[in-house]
Amino acid sequence: MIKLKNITKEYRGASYKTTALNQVTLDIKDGDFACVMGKSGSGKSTLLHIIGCMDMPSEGEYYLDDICVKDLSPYKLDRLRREKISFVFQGYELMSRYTVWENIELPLNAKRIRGKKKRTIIKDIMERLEITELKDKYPGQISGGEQQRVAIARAYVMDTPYIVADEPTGALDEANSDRILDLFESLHNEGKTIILVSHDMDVAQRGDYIINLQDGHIKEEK
Amino acid sequence: MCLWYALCQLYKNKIQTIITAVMITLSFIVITYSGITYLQFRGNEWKAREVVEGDFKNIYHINLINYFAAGGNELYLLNELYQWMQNQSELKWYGLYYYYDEEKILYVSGQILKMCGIEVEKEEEKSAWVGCNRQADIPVGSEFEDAGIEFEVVSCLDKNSRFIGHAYTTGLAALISLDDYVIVDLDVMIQENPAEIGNGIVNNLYYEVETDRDADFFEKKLRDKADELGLDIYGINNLKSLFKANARDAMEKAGEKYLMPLVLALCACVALCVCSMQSYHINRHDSSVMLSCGMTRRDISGIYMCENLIKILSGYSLSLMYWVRKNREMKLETFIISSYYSWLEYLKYMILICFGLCFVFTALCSMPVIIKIRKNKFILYRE
Repeated sequence: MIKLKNITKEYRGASYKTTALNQVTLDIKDGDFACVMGKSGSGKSTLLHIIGCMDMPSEGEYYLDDICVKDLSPYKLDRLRREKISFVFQGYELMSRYTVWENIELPLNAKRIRGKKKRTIIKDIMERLEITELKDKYPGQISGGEQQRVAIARAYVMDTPYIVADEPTGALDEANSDRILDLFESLHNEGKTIILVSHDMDVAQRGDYIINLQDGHIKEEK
Repeated sequence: MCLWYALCQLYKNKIQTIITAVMITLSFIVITYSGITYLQFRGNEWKAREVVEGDFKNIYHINLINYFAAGGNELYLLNELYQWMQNQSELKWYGLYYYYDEEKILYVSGQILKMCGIEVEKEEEKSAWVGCNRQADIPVGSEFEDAGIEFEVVSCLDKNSRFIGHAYTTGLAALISLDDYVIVDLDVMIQENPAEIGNGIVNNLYYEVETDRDADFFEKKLRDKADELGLDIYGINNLKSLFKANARDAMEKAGEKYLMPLVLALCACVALCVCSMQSYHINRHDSSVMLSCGMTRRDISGIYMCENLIKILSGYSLSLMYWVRKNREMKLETFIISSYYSWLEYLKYMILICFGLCFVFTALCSMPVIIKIRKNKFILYRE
């Protein structure tokens, strides 16, 4: 379960202060498919980064499976993220110098999974996402939809209970968007907790509920 | 995090990973071994210097030949000797020498020894200087034989009846006047058993000068004195040439051991250079992606450092090997001069500088990113 209590995130510069999130309190239960909506600058990505343990809140408390994230050292935080959370991004964020296979195996290397077990896991997910034939290609040689599927495959092999997706269909056409969202639904049906950020209502409606963010506040949940 | 894991992330090709890992390991071994060997080499050089410069620093001895046979006056000899020794205040004097006439030389030798602070009883003195052995293999004598001069070399014993021997005798610098000619022979010492010498068997009988400068000074003084007295100087050698030969031998022997590590270092460096050119420089974007894929900051900074380690090692190894090699052959200023006048040497010098700059630059550029990673200042992107 994800619990955020009065989370505030401020960015300070030499002569400015920006409050990206302001007293956000939110609970996401295991198995939920939560969609976060909001305009640009509303704090969606910041919220995602905090949930994903990529960033620390300025104030407030964040509990991930009853573990207070604030108390963790950077190293333990990284370890926690490795065990609990995987990411899918709008820009795919694939390693351009790695092949598709090598991109997918990256999290498995981080988890020190090697040899036959690693190969089996990657083959299975590639077959499922129909990207087996892209195995030796580089990100620059495949389409946006294919890249996003590779990104999802990479997130999937991490085998984490939570998947955080930041505008996963933002750069895709409608057909590919539907395909990607279908994948997320199937992951949800397997018991994964999905937190998906989108500015598109059609995408957001695929989830169990929508969290509306405005100017760093939760405006409503529906 | 382990080196293997870091290399796997840097080099996706397994063969390349293995080669790089082996090369890194080999580099460490070779660099360490080269360093140790180099120190040994320097140590050998130092030892050679010690042996040669220690108790044998520019040792001279002078034969008193035919002095009494020619009617020389021992008092005159002693006076001259004493006066001359007084003028050599910076030099230490001990004496042992060759002589011809047993009786008179015994007396003279005893006096000279006393002058040198060595007390010898009359009876001991007599027995000490008895026992002449014609040492045909003494190089010091050959010149005199060629000159038709008879001489005797005496194997000597000190008051403790320890064998001193012709090879370990030192000379007492003295100028003698003979009616016809004077033979002053500054001879090279034969170092057959330097360890024994070093242990002090004849320590108190050595004439020492501190440096080559002193040796030159001493030789000049002798020549000046000889000129003043109208004496001929026949056959002057000194220990400088022997020192140089011994030191050169010691260095060459050390250098033989040194050659193989240098060759191995060169091979390792070439391989590392090739690997470093093919390694991918992990940038900020890749670091962020790796974080999102479950890698810890420690892993990422480890990979980053590993990547730069390869580059640093290759540059360092080449620099070290090149510097050491050059140091052995010539002094730095000579190298610079030769570089100036030789375009090829100059090019090598520039390559050395470039390597050094490269690895320093790489290290400097890497550190801020590594620090940021470690300080948890990386997020994927901000709004």
